[in-house]
Amino acid sequence: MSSPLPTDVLIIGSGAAGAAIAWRLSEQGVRVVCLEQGPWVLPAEHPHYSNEWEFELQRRWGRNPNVRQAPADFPISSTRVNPMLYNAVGGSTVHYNAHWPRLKPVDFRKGTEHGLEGSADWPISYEDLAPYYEQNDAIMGVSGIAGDPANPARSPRQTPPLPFGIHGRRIAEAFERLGWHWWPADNAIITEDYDGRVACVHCGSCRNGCPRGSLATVTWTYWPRALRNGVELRTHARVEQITLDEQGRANGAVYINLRTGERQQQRASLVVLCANGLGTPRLLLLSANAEHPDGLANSSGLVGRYLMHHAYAENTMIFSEPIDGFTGAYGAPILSQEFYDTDVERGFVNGFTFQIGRGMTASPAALGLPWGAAHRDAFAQLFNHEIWFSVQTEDLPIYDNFVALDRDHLDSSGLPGVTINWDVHPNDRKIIEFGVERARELADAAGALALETTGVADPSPAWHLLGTCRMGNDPTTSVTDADHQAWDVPNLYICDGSSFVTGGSVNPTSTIGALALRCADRILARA
Amino acid sequence: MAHSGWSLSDASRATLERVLDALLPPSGSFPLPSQTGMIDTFILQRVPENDPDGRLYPALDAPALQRLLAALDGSDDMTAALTDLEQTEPLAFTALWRLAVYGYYAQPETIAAIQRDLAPAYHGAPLPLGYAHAMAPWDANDPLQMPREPRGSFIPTDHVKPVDALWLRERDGER
Repeated sequence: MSSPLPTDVLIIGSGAAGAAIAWRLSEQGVRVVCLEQGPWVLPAEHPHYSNEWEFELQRRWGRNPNVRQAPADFPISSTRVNPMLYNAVGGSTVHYNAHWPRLKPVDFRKGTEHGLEGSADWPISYEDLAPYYEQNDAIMGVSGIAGDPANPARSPRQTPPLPFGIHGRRIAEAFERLGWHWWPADNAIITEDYDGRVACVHCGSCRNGCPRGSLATVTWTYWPRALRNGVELRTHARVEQITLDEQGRANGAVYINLRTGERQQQRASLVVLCANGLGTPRLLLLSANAEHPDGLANSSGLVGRYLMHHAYAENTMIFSEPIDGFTGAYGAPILSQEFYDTDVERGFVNGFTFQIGRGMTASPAALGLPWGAAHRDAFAQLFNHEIWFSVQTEDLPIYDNFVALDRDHLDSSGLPGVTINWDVHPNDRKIIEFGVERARELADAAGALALETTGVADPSPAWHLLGTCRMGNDPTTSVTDADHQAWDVPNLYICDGSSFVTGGSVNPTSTIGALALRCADRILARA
Repeated sequence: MAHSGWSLSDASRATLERVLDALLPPSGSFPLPSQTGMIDTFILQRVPENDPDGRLYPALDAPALQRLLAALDGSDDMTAALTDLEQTEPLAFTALWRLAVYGYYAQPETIAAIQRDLAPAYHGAPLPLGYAHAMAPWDANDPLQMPREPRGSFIPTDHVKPVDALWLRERDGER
């Protein structure tokens, strides 16, 4: 086994968190190596320039690694969850929608508010994180407009909001009729040229990534900066074990070069694990040794526990007239947090966010329709006449919702995949049922002919992978401290979606980026 | 036309054309699938020659497709034959349906028909054109693009107070 030269900091994973930490540390002269099991995804590899882009979303660009089966992917078993993540430079920012809401302050104190199931206070506050949200926004480039009274003040957004289109205006009018909160949503998609990147042309294929760089994949934002600072980003490098020195401190990792099959050891003074809410606990469990038989950093038994990914109802309003829903970036142009905060009189704690999306393109619209003689008319009535929107709820952190190693399904290196156990809590089911009723009111106010809804989506779309190595103030009830350092392993930091204590009912990537910048500062402060 | 390494006999091609035309029959200016190039430019390119475990989307490889076509060959009533297939082999039918839809709606003739009949701005491949030409920029002066009377509030982190959730805890039988 060969051993490249030691470095100061080894980062495992190059997604939203790993990229931000690499940049921040390298700004201060820290020598950083980042190991990424996937490859670079080049602009020409995206399918946007082909009429077959919808088909490619089902295979090469599929969000579920079990469908995609790329060499860097690992198997994920689950009957109730549709897992979505990407293993490449940039992680899942390679193919996300870049919805960019922030957690609200109350989300950091759900232990104080109600404490149901595993709900606990975060060891930090919104106010601790606020400056990092701002810094992260400036690097990523956010469209939107400041001033939403439902959230703390934020600086002017880098570019104006996404265009509403016919469909966005229609829904805004409905919110006005109902007197509900709504606001032009923040999205990490630039609507004007910004920081050397070109403006979005609203092509609508964000789920296949963005070859233009208008959507803020970290390959377009943090990584160019980090590489200029001298960070070494090593691709096709699948980590199989985090290593410890004789004092029990993290001192590097053994990884497999996926091109050659060779095992190599990268030594470092400090290790930061940023492999997402599934990959991070997987690697900690894979790194079990005599001193840590249940997995690294797992004396609390909570590595892999409290998996959250938001519970959903996906809804479609259907209109009698054309509404151009196929136009526009897939980021949500509008959100409503009218029902975000806890009101126990509703019969549940927590709440939900309405995210107003866009309509379907041709093939997805056609797939669910009858075949044969009835198809054409059905297609004409649906395509260009519908808008998708979600009821995105906070899901309670539940001990029995977890990710564990799956030794029956192995990746291309022979390492165990993972299995997910997840179910919807009765509280969260009630939120969704309540949210769907409000969705019907919204559809009525918008003059929709019909509302189609999944109800509680099953299998649940798991694009937000949170909570599986939660941070906290007590080593018996958390995996890391407030600075992201593992309680059990000095010099091992964990920072990504797994760090979340509770999930709010908003998309997590802006919070992951903010946490990462703060984590880097805490590492620097402790150095 | 060059393809992925497998081909259809004339008889199988004729059956496939009948299958596709029965799945997606014409209406308005939409073309018959058999009048497009979707067999050569899509199906023969995207269906893998050999994927017996159905690992690759759409979980239909060349032998499986040819088996389906052989079973459907000679059917006088293709709609009835496909209805039977849908009931007896739903997974195979679904794979066939997906292949038909993704191939058909990617054809230039179909995209042109969508433009003519349903959505003038639609243009198939998302880039390089995008839809900036079809959407007005966000406009702060439009009363439907900013709330008339902004509403909503938040509580600073340290002001969060407990709610009475005991009855919810008991109702849901906290685990």
